[in-house]
Amino acid sequence: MKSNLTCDACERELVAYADGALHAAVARVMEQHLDDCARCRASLEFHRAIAGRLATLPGIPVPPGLEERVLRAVAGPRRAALRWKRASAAALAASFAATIGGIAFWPRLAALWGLPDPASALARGIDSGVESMIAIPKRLAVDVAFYEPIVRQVCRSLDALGSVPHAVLLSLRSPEAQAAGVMLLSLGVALYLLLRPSTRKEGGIGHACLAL
Amino acid sequence: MGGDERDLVRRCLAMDERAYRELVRAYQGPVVNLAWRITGSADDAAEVAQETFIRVLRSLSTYDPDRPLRSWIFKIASNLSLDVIRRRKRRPVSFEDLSSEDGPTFDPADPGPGPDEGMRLEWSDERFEALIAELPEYYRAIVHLRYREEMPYDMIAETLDIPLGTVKVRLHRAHEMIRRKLIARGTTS
Ligand SMILES: [Zn+2]
Repeated sequence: MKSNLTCDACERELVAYADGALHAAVARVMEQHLDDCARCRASLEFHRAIAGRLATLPGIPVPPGLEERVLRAVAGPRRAALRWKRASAAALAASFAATIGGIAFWPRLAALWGLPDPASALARGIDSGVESMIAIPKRLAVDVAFYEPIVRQVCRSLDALGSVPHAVLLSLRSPEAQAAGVMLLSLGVALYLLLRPSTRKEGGIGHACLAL
Repeated sequence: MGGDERDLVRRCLAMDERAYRELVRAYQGPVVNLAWRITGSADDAAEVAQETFIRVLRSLSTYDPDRPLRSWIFKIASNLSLDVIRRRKRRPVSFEDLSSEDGPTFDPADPGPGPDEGMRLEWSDERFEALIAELPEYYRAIVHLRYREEMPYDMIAETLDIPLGTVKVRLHRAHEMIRRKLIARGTTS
């Protein structure tokens, strides 16, 4: 069977044909031409020989210590991160247990060591400490209200300096960000007030802890 | 990707150090040799291979497990190899660079390979190696992936981020370049 493929067209497809990368129908047309054309057959053999040569060229050995260098770079920081995570979790658990233990056994320990009654002097001391701690966010809230217009002014002047600081300040100045901050702060204060050892009111959670 | 490879990737993602080692051992030879073929330097190949595996292991979470792992690793290695050449030449280089593909391809008046060329294919590895080193880097990459790594055309296209048709054209041109170089060397060379 005679195909009307030219030698030029056959030659362009020869490498792909030798690599078995042609569609079956195209490969059949190529085969018909190759059956009739000694020149293209010789060319095909030559391409096959080049491919064979390329496939068997020797390579280079793996450089010594590659695996260790990679592992040091990758596993080292990850292992350290994992250790740090575990250590901080353990520390957190220990301090939590110590706090609970302290709250539960403080009255007995106080009586044992002859310290002032926890329900009076100590609790009042803690209370006043907490009062002053609460005063800080309160002051901050007032300050925020005070400084907000100033921040606004600074933002406006920074506008001229470029869009990056502007974008950062914009997010700070948005009412949502401020609301989120205030909410987080009040949540923290509320949690403390709810859980602190109560000295004035019977039946609070703090009182229950003291009674453990 | 095979089940074994999926399992290897899963264990690497779980930060299993033994799995890291398994992955490096499975691919270090091919990666070093691909980098060497593209950069032409054993020192550069060592550096590229190290950086390739660090990137592979650090960005494994972004790898699509439906694609061949080998192709993904080779893609990183070949891009890092091109970076080395780019730094050396201080000019942009990419696998899509077609500037030197405009040359003549098949000359219809070419009498075709004669017995001498067949003899020249019997050259020593060193002489043949030197001839391959003269090819542009993206031709070296493509012949390596095709003939050393026996990658099918579509996987080469994915690895080098070029169209399938370009793979075919470039392999054909690489063969032509080798053939012309063999002819140009003459029988006594
Ligand atoms: Zn022909």
